[in-house]
Amino acid sequence: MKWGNLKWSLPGALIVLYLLSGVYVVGSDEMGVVVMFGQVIENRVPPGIHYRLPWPITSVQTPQVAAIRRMSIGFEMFKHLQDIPPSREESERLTGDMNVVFVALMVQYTIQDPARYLYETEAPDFLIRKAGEAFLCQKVGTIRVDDLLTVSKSEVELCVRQKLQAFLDSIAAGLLIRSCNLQKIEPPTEIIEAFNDVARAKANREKIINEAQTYSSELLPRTRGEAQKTVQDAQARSAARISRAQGDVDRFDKLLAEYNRNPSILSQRLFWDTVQEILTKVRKVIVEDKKGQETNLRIVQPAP
Amino acid sequence: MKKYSARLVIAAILLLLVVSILYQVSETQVAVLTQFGRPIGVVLSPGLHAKLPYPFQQVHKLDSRLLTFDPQAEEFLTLDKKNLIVDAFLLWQVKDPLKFLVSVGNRQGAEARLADLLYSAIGSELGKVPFSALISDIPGEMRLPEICAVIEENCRKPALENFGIEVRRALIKRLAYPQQNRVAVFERMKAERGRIARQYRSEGEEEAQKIRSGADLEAALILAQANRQAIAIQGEGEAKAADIYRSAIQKDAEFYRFLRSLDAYKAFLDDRTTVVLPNDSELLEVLRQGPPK
Repeated sequence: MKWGNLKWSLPGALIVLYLLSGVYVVGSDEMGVVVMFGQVIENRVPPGIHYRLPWPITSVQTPQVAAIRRMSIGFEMFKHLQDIPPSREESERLTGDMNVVFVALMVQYTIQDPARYLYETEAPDFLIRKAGEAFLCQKVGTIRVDDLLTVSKSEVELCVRQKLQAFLDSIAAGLLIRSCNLQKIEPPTEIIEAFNDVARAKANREKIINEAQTYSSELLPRTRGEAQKTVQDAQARSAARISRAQGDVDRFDKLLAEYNRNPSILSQRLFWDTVQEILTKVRKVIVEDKKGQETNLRIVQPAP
Repeated sequence: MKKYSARLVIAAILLLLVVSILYQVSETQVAVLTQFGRPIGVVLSPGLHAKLPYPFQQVHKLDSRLLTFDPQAEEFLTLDKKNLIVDAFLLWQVKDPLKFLVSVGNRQGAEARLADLLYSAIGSELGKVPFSALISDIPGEMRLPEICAVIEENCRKPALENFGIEVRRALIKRLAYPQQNRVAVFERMKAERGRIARQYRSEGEEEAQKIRSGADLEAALILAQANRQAIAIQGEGEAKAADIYRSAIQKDAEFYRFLRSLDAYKAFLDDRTTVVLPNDSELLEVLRQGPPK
């Protein structure tokens, strides 16, 4: 080849450029699928720089398999996340006890098999929404509205997730559900006040029961204390009574011993001691004795 | 120059021939080959294929993917004559491309036929089941998945036989009350909520009352028990005291009476008592008579 001859260098350069157009890059969160004349020849090209035969022989698609995708069921997502928002109607569900509720579910998923994702089904992402709605409809239709609003949330999430995954597997959609989260469970706005009232009544029930329990737990220990005091008072009185009797008897015994030694002296002495003691305290009136005459006494009430 | 342009013309003709002979079937397609408009074969495998150039043979490509058909929701009647809006969708796929092409032609035609199939399958199946088979909080009564399976089965056979379509899934995705029933439904829900709220309130009162009166009763029992015990203790004390007195009195009842009387006088004759003594009282005898002689 002569360097001066430019006759072949232009087509040659074009051919080289054409061949070079087969170089492509698979991003770190992507996986490449190479198609030759419409037929998949490579379905799991890892991240990095790769070469394929140029257009129109082969073409390549690189879906993001690592990225977690989100699909909303029954509520509007931000525009940049999902193009077609669901309608309000879509979130309306009937519960097992024939109530109307609005339920919104967020499904997170990833692409498991890029070739299947690309070629098996039309719009697999939206299939998640439609099938998710179907399984949500089935599950919510067996649960009472009160349970749905309170305790059954995780049960619903788990059930929808399992059924949705089984469904996606059965149609080979190449998708893997990562999570299902209920975002909203709401009664219709027209009658939400009635639902709130039930919640208030329930809270109130708890409250007055608690109050009664507090009353009970205060009353009983106090009463037990009182009861104990009553018993102890009785014990104290009883002991006092006995020891008084004992004291009385001791004194009696001692006096009796004395009395037996010389009865008249002791009784004389005791008698006069007592007379003295009494007459010292009391008011005394001494009247002259006139035999055969009545004695008039004016009794004056002592000053109180 | 003349030689050059002749070459160019030949090259162009060759290229045109290649393009009209070769055709590509992608992963998402099946192709039907027709000769003078008459179908002569089906190409199922993706890749590059050859045919006679137009106008001898023609290629019709069909979507081979699993397709979703989601028609408008419709109102249906259950066995117990309840109106219900049912929203369902179908997953379908071209199974027999030849039959498909001849019978329905394209997707629009297929969807029109599938809509008829789906609606009539739903209508006839819902007409056989009560409302409670669709929605029920009694375990085992709701049979929606089974009903969907029956609907699917009833769509499957005619779709395959008549249109070369395989119905893969049919699912009901929404059940709703018709618009004209909504006010009544909401009223019913509201009344039900009111009933539940009242129930909670009276239940609360009842429960609280029960707890309070239970506590009151228990307290009363505790106090009664304590009082009984106290009375018993006191009685025991009295009895013991009496026993002690009795054993002492037995030694000399006369002397006891004397002593006890003196004690009693001391106790009840206090400073508010006035004693009237005649001057010839024995108590004053010494005072009156002077010292013994």
